[in-house]
Amino acid sequence: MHSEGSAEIVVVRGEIDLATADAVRADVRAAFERAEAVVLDLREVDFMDTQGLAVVIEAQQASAEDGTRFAITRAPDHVHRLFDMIGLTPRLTVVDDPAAAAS
Amino acid sequence: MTDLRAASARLGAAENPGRRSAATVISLAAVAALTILDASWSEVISATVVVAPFIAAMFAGVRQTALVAAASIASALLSGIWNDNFADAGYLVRAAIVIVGGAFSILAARTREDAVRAETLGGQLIAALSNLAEAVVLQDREQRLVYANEAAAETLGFSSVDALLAATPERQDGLADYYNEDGTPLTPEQYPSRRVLSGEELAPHRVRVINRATGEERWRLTSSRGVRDGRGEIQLVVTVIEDITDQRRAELAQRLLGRAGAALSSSLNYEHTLQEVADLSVPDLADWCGVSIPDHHGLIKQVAVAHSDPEKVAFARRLGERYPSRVGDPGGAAQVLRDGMSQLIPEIPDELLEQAVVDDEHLELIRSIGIRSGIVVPMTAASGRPIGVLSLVNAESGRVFTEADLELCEELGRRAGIAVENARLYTERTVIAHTLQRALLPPGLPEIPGFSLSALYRPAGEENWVGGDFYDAFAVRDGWVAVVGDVAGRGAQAAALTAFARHVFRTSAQLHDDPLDAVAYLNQQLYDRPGQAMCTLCCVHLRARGPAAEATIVCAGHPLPYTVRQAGAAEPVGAWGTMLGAWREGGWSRSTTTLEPGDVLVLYTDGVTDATGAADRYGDDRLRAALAESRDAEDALRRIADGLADFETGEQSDDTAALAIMRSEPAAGSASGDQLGSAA
Repeated sequence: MHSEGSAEIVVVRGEIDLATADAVRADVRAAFERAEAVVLDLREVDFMDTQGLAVVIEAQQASAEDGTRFAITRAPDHVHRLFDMIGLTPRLTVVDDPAAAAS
Repeated sequence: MTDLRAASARLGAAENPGRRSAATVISLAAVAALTILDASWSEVISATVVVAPFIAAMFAGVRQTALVAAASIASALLSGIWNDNFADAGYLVRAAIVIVGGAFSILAARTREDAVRAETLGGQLIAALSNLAEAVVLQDREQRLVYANEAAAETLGFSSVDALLAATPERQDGLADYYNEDGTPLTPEQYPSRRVLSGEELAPHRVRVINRATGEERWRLTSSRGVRDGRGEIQLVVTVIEDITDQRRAELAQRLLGRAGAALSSSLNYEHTLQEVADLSVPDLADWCGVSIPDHHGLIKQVAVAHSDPEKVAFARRLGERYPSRVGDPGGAAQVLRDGMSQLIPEIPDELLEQAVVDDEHLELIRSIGIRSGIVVPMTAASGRPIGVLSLVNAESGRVFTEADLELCEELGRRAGIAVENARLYTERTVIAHTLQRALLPPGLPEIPGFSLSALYRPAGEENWVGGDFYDAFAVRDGWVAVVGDVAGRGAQAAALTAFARHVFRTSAQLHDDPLDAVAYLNQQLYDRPGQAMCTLCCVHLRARGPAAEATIVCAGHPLPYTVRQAGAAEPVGAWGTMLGAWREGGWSRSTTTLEPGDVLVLYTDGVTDATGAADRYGDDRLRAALAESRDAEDALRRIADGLADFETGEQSDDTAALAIMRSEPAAGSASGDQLGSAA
């Protein structure tokens, strides 16, 4: 996780599932506490299950509630497909460059 | 032994240098006086001078005696000079007496000095032995005690060394019972002193000793060695007896607690593990060990009993069955269960037995055990509540329990109590989990005329984990609805949400004619729940259309179902819609497809596609390939199960649910019935 001004980028690599979701959730929550803009960098996420989706949804909901800007950097296609499947994609800001989104 | 000490003190005084010097001076003065007398008075006196070295030999050292002997010989020579009688035969005899006497005196002085030294050394050694904390005894070839120190008298249970030495061998042994480390009695043939006398080299030997009178248990480490004479014959056996009771008890306690802990944590079958604990306690801790737990009927059930003799165990079981104790009984186990207070009865009087028994026969049976000492401790749960009791009894060993034994038993009771509680909680949790799980799923799939249904459900991980996947199938006003869903989260909270989602959806689908309305209603209900309450599902509304059927599919954040038409390829069907519970608004759509007889529709959760294999996830492509050519509902699910079984490695983290529906071939009877009905 690194900070750029009042924006924080949370970088996640590997799998977000039952085993890891709680750790990612804690990082995302902490970022929301501190920053005005949070970017979840999912470019190196190989796999996400319902637990992982729940983390992204929670961040999206938090953003909708308190106005913290929230974006994700485009995940690999098979992960992004899950966002499409559950109807999350239209509610997300998807960017290609996390630094640009944070500034 | 006090004599020896006194002798050593006396001999020490003889070595006093002042006395030596005095004896030397007196001896030399005697030589001088006799020489003067001899010179002035009579030649006969020259032989008398031999008395002087004798005196020196009695009280002075070798050197002083040699000096006096030399002086007396010189005196004899001087006598010869003065009297000029060297050639005289009488003079030669007298001179020889003085020379030989002097030589003997020197030898005598030397022998005496050696003896004094040896005796002093022996005395000092004995004094040192007497002061040793370790008991030391010396036995002769006939195994008679020839020496024992004070520690030995104390260790062997005698008031003094004299009392020990005066006691007969029978009485020396008769005060206590001796056992080997393994619990077998130590026979006289096994006595270390006897084995050493017969020429054996023995390693130190641990012996458990129980004082017959007091019932006190001690542990001794005995080391015996033979003392050989110049010819190599063993003349004496030295035995050092060390009291290792404290060390041995600590060792036994640690070992018992360690092994009991391992046994208790090895299994959830606590009646079995308690038996192991009881077995571990005999004979080191007690002759008998029993474990009792109250049942729901107020009986204190004996769940374990141990004794080193299996016949006695059988006897105790029969006794327990015939005379069961009840939670309301006064005293004993029932009392400990009520107040949680341990009981230590070092010596159990007969009156106590009389109070505890039901009838005379019971009393006889109890008496036949020969109970001497007893401990009853509670097995306590983490909360401190007694949930059972450990009873320990000493009978034939005659051992009397101590406070240290009580402490050890209490610790054992605490550990056993927590293990039993954990096992019970775990069992209870498993029962609750199974009950909940049954609530998540329909009791069985309904018989749907014109369709055959088959379901697969596999919760992840241990059996007590309740999963978040569910499926259901039920009748609605104009047909049937089948659904497969997946609630986010795990454990009890997810289980509660799963039950909620399934029941809300079922009720809502039965009230609304349109599955879209049921989905939207569930979304609203989940969204309004506090916290994240999210769910994905795929439902299908089935309606017969002649021999075929119309299937209306609605998906909400869920993978699309597959159709396998006429045992052909598997094709996804339907359209994605918004996950439920995440947002107030969502978009869902109906997709309608026709199921011809023999067509199979398969609904599943992502537990199937997310299943982990050696390198990757099971995925859509493998699922699709597995489902191809499914002949019917059951066959489709078997293909999924077989495919997963071949693919998966390790324990799966997600639940798996799947539901397959086939439009049946119309039965001849029902088809004609339809025709008749339509004809009418």
